[in-house]
Amino acid sequence: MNNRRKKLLVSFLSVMMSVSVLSACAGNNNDGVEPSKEPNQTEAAQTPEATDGGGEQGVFPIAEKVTLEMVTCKHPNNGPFEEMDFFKQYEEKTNVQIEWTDIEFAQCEEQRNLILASGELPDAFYGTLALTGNDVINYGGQGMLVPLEQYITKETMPNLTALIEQNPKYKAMLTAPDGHIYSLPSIRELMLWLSPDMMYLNKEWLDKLELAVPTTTDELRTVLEAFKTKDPNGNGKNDEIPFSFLWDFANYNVMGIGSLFGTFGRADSANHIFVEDGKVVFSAKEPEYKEAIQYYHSYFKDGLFDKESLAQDRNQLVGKGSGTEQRLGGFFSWNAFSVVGVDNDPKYVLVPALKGPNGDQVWRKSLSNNQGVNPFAFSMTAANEHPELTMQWIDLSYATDTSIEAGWGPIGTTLEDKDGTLTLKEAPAGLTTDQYVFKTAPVEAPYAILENTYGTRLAMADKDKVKIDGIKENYLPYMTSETFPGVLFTAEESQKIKTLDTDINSYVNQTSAKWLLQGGVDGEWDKYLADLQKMKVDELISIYQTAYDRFKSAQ
Amino acid sequence: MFKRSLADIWFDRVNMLLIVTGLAIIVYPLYFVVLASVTDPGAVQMTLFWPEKFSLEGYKKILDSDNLWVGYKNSFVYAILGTIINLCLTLPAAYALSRKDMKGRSTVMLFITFTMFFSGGLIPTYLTVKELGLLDSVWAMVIPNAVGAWNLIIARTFFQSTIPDELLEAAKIDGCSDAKFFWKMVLPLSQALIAIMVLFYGVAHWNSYFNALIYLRDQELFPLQLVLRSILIENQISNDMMTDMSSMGDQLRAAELIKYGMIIIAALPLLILYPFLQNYFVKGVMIGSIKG
Amino acid sequence: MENVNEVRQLDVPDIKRGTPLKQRASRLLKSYQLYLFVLPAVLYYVLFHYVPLYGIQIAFKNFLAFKGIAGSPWVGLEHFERFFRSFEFTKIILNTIKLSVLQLVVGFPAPIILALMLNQLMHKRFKKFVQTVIYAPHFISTVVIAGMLFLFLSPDTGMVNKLIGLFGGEPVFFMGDPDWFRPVYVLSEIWQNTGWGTIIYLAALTTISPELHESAVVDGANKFQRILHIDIPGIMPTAVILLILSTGNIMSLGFEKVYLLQTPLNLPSSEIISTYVYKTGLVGAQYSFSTAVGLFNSIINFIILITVNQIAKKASNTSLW
Repeated sequence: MNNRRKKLLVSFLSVMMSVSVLSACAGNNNDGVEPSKEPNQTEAAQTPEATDGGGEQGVFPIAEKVTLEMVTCKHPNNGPFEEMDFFKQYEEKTNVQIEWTDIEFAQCEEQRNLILASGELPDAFYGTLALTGNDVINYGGQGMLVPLEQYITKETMPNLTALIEQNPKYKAMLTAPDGHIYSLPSIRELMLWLSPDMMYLNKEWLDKLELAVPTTTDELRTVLEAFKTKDPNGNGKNDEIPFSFLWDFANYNVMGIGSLFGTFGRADSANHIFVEDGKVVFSAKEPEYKEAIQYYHSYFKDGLFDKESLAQDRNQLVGKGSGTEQRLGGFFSWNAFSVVGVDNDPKYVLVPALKGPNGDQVWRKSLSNNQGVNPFAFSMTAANEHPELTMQWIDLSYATDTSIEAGWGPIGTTLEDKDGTLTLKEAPAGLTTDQYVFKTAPVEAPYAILENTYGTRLAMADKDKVKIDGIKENYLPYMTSETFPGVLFTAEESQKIKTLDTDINSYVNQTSAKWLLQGGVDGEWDKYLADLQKMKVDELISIYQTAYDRFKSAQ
Repeated sequence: MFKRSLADIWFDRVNMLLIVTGLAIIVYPLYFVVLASVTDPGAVQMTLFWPEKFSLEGYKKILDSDNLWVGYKNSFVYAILGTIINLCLTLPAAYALSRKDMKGRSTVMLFITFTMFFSGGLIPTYLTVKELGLLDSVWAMVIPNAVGAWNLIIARTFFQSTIPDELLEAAKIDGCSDAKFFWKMVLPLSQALIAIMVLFYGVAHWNSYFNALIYLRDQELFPLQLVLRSILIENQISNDMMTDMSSMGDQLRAAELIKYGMIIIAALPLLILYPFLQNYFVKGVMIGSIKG
Repeated sequence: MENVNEVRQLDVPDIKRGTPLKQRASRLLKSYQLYLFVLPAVLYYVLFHYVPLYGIQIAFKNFLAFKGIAGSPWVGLEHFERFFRSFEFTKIILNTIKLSVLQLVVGFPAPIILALMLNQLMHKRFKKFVQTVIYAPHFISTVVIAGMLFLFLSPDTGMVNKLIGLFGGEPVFFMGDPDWFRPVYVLSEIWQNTGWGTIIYLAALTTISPELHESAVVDGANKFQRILHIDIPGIMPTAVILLILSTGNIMSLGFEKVYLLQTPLNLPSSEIISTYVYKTGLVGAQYSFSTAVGLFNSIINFIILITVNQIAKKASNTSLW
């Protein structure tokens, strides 16, 4: 009873987690809607025909139909894979038929493991949801997945080879610690990822109180004090919440306070790991962290920061932001409307990286979503009898237009070509554009959208443009820290990290939350540092350092 | 009834008072669930007794799903078929194990209790189900959970304390076999037990989705709970994929509404079922004995 | 225990006593039917519970899906050691036990008391109504329960704090205080499951003969006395069995609700075994580690169960085997 029940709950939670992670990385694709079809300077230059002609390169369509079995996990919005226009076209082009085992999103975790454990290997795993990084490293090392580097050549995989030659860092990101490549990537290089944290203040209130958007922490304090005491919503009640946010310790993708800590010289992130001059740093044990905690404790003490920030879930924050009467002065979020709703969205204004009491001005540079590179989007198993063909088949997906079609639906179906720019068309009645795209294309798939594609060959969605412009203007110049890159860890390393990290992170989180709320960082800091040592924080740092050095040398 | 004594009158008053107070505490959050399912999520926080901003979006999203009715139908089938199987296996076994004259019953009880604590885990169980050819069929939903140890133990305890030895002895003298005694005497005397077994097993089937998660791939076979979970996930996850702000905002809100609406849609059949089963609690047994 | 005897004396009167000796021979012959009764259930357990039991070995192995359970390499007690060596091991075990025990001590008697009270309601339709209402919370999903708790307990807008304010108190930050975690958890469990828990006792109460009550009334017993001397002994076997079963669950507290109620501020009391194991990476299919921890819990639970069962057998003559 117990085991069964625990598993059930765990599996449920894991679904929940993946959901929240995904939603935290807002922007997945639409962000990526980019077209790059100007004669596609980059890729086309190196791979003639890469754009449209990929399909015609010699091999395809093959003379005799070949059938491959692939396992994929569907995004909740996806329909059956075999009915997708994208794959129908692909089959016509190649004469390779795919027999899909497309697992429902809700079942993905269990079904995938059961498929692996019961030894029914398909020919390949397709899509970013199909295998996790752990799976790829583990099963790769066990000989269950085929090393792919031997196929990444100009002859077999012209598109991908060109891509990697241009961006050696991709090779480093794909290379497992044993030196092999076991999976192919899904690349969506979007500036959106750079800062999940955006800081907003209520512009209406600022105007009413005749205050400017703050640029320093002192000014921020003045503004929040005014929000608190001067009844900016004018209802005669002291019900304003000057500033609220999420201290989302379980799943901390948007972590605004971490960026705000940059006012003391170093930002903070979910795992507290940064790289400075090639050296890995654990931010939460540095003096800047202490100073920041001490300073922002005064905000909590004076009621300028909502104390529930440390213990509320997303729905509560949304509730505070969207009542009939405006109560919320400011917040951190991926974008304003996801907290205050579409109607109130224009009333909030972006706050730039603030200058701290000592003149420091740093904003967190995020690697959320690994800067849009998921290295685990396609793997081939040892059971595959047509490895060469399979690799040729998947390489087509890395041509610019096919990439766009995999993520945004086939040209002519969901996309239309307007003067060289691909734009999403109106969806048929009863469907939203997004639903339509997910029905016609896999979306969470192996392909490559480079930074210069989005906004050129592929039209950019409005909300992404707003966000990207906001980042460029307010935060990009202050992103001075180097975030830890997307490295593949050995199975042993990741297990070690998990073990150490669970203890350390939960300790750092509870202690910091307590300090922010109740103070006391001054007296307890030394004991805290000693405890971190006991929890082997140095070992954690050195594991990261080893992986980082390996990554650097792989480039 | 007999004339009530003063003490009894006071007892009844205090009892009534406590129950009514307790009822109020229990009812409010229930009412809140109903309220929240029709209130715009932004306003839920401010909602006390009346929907601040009325919205049926959540129900609309749930009812719009093609799979919902299929899910309902499947869940009914699984619950009814599953419960019948459960009863056929549990009741005779529990009765036999309640009989003191059955040699080896302690061993069997230990054997069964052991499984409440130790299990081989997901993968071996899955492989067993697979080898029996049950995957992706109705049977995967009703056979792997054919007997619940907890329910079996409860049933045994009931038999033990309600079927008097004397009755059995009397029946034996009349030449009644165990099977006949069980069928003609024990079952009719155990209506309350059967009612709670139907309830416990039925509710467990109705609420379960884990077996469906691992044993079923065909969406046409998904039970209601799995369908509802998929709807919820669909609405929670896709918000960031949205291309335009307004549809994204809608979606975000809908997920909240769905959460509350789901409960009502899923629990309704069970809330209707319960009062019927209660009738069997009252009729109960009219035989005078407590311990066997 | 005297109560039980009392009842027995009251009730034995008029059913014919058999003559076991004469019947013994034929009874033995006929009891094969009892074994046939048990057979299907036993087969089920063998097939679906004992056959897969070989899976337990992965607690001592490093499970590699590709090689299967049998082919994975042995690692001995490595996973157990990893668990025992966790920095917070003691705290987590203590948190688990404290929460479980509190839950048991407060949560176990609640449905019994409520069932006894409900049983005294004279108005049948009202009784039915009450039963149906208190049964309903059982069907609310944990996610929603957790959401409502955050909402109701919010120091800012929550109605509980508004009530406290009404009586002149200071708002309490329930979800931000480690001391409040356990009361919040246990009380909400009681709210959700007491009604459901009464079902079994109400059913047990119907099996008590009305004649007992009638003769007690003739003897001048009032309601309270009758509850004490007739109702409680009547449901005792059921209660004891349920108590035995719940004590055997001490180490395996449900995971989802605790996890959802965790905040960084209440973590010092809300981190329990299952949430910890989850965080250390169960998501990445760490079957071996989680199986090891599960096995550890099960062994402890099973030992507790056996012990309690023995005690119950001696003390109340009711036991699982």
